[in-house]
Amino acid sequence: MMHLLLPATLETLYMVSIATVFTLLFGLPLGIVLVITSKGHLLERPKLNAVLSYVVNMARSLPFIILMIFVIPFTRLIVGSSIGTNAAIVPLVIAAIPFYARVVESAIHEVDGGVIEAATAMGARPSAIIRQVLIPEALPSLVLGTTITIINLLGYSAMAGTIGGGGIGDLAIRYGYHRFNTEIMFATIVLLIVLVQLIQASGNLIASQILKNRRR
Amino acid sequence: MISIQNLTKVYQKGGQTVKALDGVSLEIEAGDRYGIIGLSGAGKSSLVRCINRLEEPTSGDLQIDGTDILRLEGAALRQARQGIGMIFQNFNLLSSKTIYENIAFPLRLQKLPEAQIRVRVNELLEKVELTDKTNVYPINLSGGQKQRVGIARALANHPKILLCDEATSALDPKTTKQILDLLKRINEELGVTLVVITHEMEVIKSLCNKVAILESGKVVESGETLQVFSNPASVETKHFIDTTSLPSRPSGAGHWLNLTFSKGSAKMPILSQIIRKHDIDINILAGTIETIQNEPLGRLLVEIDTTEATLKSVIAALEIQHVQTEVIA
Ligand SMILES: Nc1ncnc2c1ncn2[C@@H]1O[C@H](COP(=O)(O)OP(=O)(O)O)[C@@H](O)[C@H]1O
Ligand SMILES: [Mg+2]
Repeated sequence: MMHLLLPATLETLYMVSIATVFTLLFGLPLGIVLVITSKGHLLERPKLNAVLSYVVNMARSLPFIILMIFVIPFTRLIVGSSIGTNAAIVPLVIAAIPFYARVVESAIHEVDGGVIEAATAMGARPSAIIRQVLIPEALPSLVLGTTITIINLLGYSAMAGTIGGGGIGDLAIRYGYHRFNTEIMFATIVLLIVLVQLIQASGNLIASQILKNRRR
Repeated sequence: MISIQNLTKVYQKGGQTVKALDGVSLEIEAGDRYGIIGLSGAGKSSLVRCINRLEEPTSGDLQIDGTDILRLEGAALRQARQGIGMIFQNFNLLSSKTIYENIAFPLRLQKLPEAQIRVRVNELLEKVELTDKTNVYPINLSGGQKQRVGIARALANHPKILLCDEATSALDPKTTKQILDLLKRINEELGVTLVVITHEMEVIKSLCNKVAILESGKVVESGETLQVFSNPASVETKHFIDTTSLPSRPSGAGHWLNLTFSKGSAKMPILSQIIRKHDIDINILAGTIETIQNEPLGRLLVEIDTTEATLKSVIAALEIQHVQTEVIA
């Protein structure tokens, strides 16, 4: 059984970690732009904000399984194939970016307006306020939001297995479902539960560690 | 130094317009501790926030040392802001940074060398007496300590002006006094011009050499604090000053007079002289002595049971001695 579980787990970890990196790369700036272009904020741009918000909502209303098929031409363009682990990462990232952007948006929105104002009054430019005020002040919420996003990606990655992405989900379907191998099925479920618990526990630990540090 | 001409600020809020400032003109001179007092909603915050353009005035003119602040944009505006410190009612410290880093924040914005930042921050920590809190986070500080960090941070770039928006309104009386003393010291030792927004008379009395009374977006009175206090010209100002609650006026009794003793008259036995001279009884109903800008200012509410004619000569005698009198009907 190990010779099946180990490579599947590695594939899942590969998909999820690469997808996480790209999701943060695009989702964090998008979330920040959603906040600072909103009314009364740092760089108020109502039209841009409305358009971005609309696009994000649209992307979020597609179920992952449909989005995955819908973006196949785009996947082919980027990866050169629509099948395989790398090909699965593309729809994962596309699905997670709008979700993560909203997570970032709500975390950054919670930053006290007075603190932003104080920085503005000191002559800070918007880029400095983003990097030195908004992100550090929202860091604990951002960490928790990122944790939820990674767990979401893990869930999506199981579905991505069906287009040849491999991983734990793929194993569960091929052995557990098609071959009625209950042992494998059971093992994959346990594995997924353990992974989710590990990710959540690490996220909680990091966030509380940051907060604890600030009470020093 | 700060010259404000005919400033207006209109807010649009859901189809409604609020005129927060309605033609405000003020001259604040270098070295002033200029108080702006008014009830909640009078437009005090709007006014002070126009000075560093946290708020855009709707119309009017605002110059600082001859620079037209309202024309500045981008880098020039940011540069001007670095010369204007600001402290807030809720302190607005960064919870993610230590006290040291909070004070270093405005210096880092200027990308100063690390050694220079360290020297300046330590200097400021000493000035506000918080050297023992260097590496602590704001959550562990009391309100007074937080405001002292706010003051240190605001002073980091050697500003000429310090804007204080209700800086002591969240503090208890004892801490308020400490912060007001610190602000006064900063004004006297560093020559920083203070613009002090408050709804508390006590703050004006103990800190400000000049005061403007703001009501519904208009300056109803302004001038030297002692002058305004001892001789209020407007009804609104009287409301602010008259914090002593008067006993209710019984009908049919004698004449009631409100007497205000200032500078020359506060320390002299004027009343007993008048009693002897006019052979009348004076009944003291209420009284206070306040200290405004280190000058005593006394107020007495008295009752005199006498004829109209005698009352007139009593009032004349009082006014010769520089006692402001007001007959209460
Ligand atoms: N951002 C805003 N939008 C709409 N109305 C505002 C805004 N800020 C202040 N006001 C209104 O302007 C008036 C003056 O407010 P403010 O300057 O905060 O007064 P103060 O500081 O004296 O309490 C109030 O009626 C307030 O409701
Ligand atoms: Mg206010």
